[in-house]
Amino acid sequence: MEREKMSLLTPSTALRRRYLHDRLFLLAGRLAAIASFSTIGLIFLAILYTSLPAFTQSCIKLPIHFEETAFSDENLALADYDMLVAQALARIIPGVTDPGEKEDLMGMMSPGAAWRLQQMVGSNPKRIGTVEQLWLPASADIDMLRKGKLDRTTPEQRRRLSKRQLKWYDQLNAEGRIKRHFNRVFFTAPNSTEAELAGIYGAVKGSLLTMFITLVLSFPLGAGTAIYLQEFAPRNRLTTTITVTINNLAAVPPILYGLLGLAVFINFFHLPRATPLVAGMVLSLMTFPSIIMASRNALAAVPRSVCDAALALGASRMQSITHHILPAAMPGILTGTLLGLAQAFGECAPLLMLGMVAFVGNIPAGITDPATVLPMQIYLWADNSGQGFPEKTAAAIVIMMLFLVIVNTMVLWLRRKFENSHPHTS
Amino acid sequence: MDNNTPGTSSFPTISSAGDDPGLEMLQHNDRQTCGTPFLDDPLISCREIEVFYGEQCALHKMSLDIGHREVLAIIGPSGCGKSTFLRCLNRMNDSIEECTVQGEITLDGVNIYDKNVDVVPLRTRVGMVFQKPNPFPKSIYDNIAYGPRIHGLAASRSELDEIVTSSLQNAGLWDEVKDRLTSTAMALSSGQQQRLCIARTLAVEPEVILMDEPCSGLDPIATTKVETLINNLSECYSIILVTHAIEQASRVSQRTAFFHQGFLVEVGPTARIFTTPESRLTENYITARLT
Repeated sequence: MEREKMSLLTPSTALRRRYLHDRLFLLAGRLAAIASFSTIGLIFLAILYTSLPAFTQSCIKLPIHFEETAFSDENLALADYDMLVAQALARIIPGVTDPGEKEDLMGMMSPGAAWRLQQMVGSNPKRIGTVEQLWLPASADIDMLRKGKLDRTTPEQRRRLSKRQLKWYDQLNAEGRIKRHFNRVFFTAPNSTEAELAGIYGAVKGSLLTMFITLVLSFPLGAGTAIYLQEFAPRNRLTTTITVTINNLAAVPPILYGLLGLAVFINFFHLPRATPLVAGMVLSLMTFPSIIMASRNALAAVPRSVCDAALALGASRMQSITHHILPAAMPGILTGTLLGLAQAFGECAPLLMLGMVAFVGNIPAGITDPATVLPMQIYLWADNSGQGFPEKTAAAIVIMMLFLVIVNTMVLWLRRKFENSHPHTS
Repeated sequence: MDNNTPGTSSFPTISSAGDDPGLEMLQHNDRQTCGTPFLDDPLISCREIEVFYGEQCALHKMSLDIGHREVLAIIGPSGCGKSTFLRCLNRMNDSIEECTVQGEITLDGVNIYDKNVDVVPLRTRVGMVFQKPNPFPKSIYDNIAYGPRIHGLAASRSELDEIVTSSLQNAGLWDEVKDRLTSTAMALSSGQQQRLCIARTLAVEPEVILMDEPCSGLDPIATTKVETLINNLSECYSIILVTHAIEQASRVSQRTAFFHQGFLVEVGPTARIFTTPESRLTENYITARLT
């Protein structure tokens, strides 16, 4: 029987069915991509939107009189700065005499206002005797009201601001004495129990110090182990056992590493708890199996022909590895390391065990100072029901994502850079 | 596959002669190598070498001499042990874990498989060019300079420049690359890359150059250039050339060795091998390939 010729212009039924399958598959792929992308996009937008108020801080403009009488003591830190704030408030809202009313009035300002004044006088004592119009931070409740997060219609008993305070707020607002400023405190201060004074910097620095320790410990250890196991170690039962064990270590729940760190580093070696040193050591234990695996894969992917060429020229085994295999495997090793670090950066569970969940009100100066890390700060703030903390939580998440984006961009950049100079790996 | 194991007298069977129709009716029924494997004043002499990959015998007991400044071509069907033999001569088989070599290969009277022998000087004296061009992903200059650098052959930058220049000139590549020594070697054509690999081998001044099918991936024009190069190099070096193309063997070599299924079947002056081969295996291989 002669086979019918396929028409070039009108596709046959079978061909049409094939095309239909192709289109369905394509559609499914696109839907999956859209679904995942929009989910991530939504989450990110929601967090970003929630975080926006945290990046600004409402301030009230007060006429501060740095009167010489207030600074009678030699030690400028002992002066009553709260009184300066109270006097300034009394100047713009006169006629408040009742102690309860006075307390309400003072409650409109953040405790940070007096602290700010102390800093200003400390850095420039010549201010004493002058009068200045200063923007000082308002309390978290006023801040929330300014940002539209406080409902005026709630009954007074359950409302966080009294009728008087609302009245004063409207008065000051009408005078143009309340304004939102960029929240510099958030980026420069450590954690605080007052939302308007709490900053992310302590946690960022703690995270960076921890990552530094993790990198310094896990990269040389991980890459070195990978090079030895992949290039030098004999293939025998012992090395196979080691390989299998390392692969299994990558799947151990992170909290177990925390328990290990608690038992070994803190209880046995008596290293200071809640410090970047211990956190970095525990996290490097956690990342180094994944660095080993990524590095071994990268090393195994380097074509042996280049190694052979070096050996045939009389290079030693070590030279052929350091001169040729390692540079070619470097993008893979670095990518594995950075991804491992990114994972450690977002890790919270093992650090709970090391006491990093504690409130740390100072910026860590070194690796042996008590510190907290970004994910832990997010956890702590998310747990805090105080005014302004949900926004801080979202803002901390944004900062953390920013760091992860930077790390991932670095991965891409490094890959491209090395791939250009070592086309063998591509 | 080759089912010959040491100690048994089973020889290549008809069925395992495989894809070579001209060999189907023949068996190699004599362990003795035909022709003239021995020379008066050899540079390398192989005695009774045997190579195993694990349990499997890849090269049966064979002996062969390689002379000074000669081109020895090694021909034979795929899987006959040509490359295995070649890799024994500079101990490149060392990096294959399950590979064991027995017997004796001497270079200037020293057994290269002696446990006191250092492979670094051995490979410096016995260079190798591979089937697939494998330049380093570096500049042309650095490719050539790599060997001299690791061996400390050049005392100064100008000496190194001289080595690079002369190596490229000897490999016939100088005129093509002299203006772009600092650009990457990966941008060269495969024929140029292969000549670069030869130049790189020359830069460490070996005595012997092993070439493992250096032209198999090259077009006819590039092949001609490499063959001319081999001809020129034979004035100064001993070259052992493994090749699939027996015409190439006839064009460039003084002696030819024919391997078949792990046996060295015949070796002798190229002209004689191609006109009056002693073994019928050799004759059939050559005629099947030539006609």
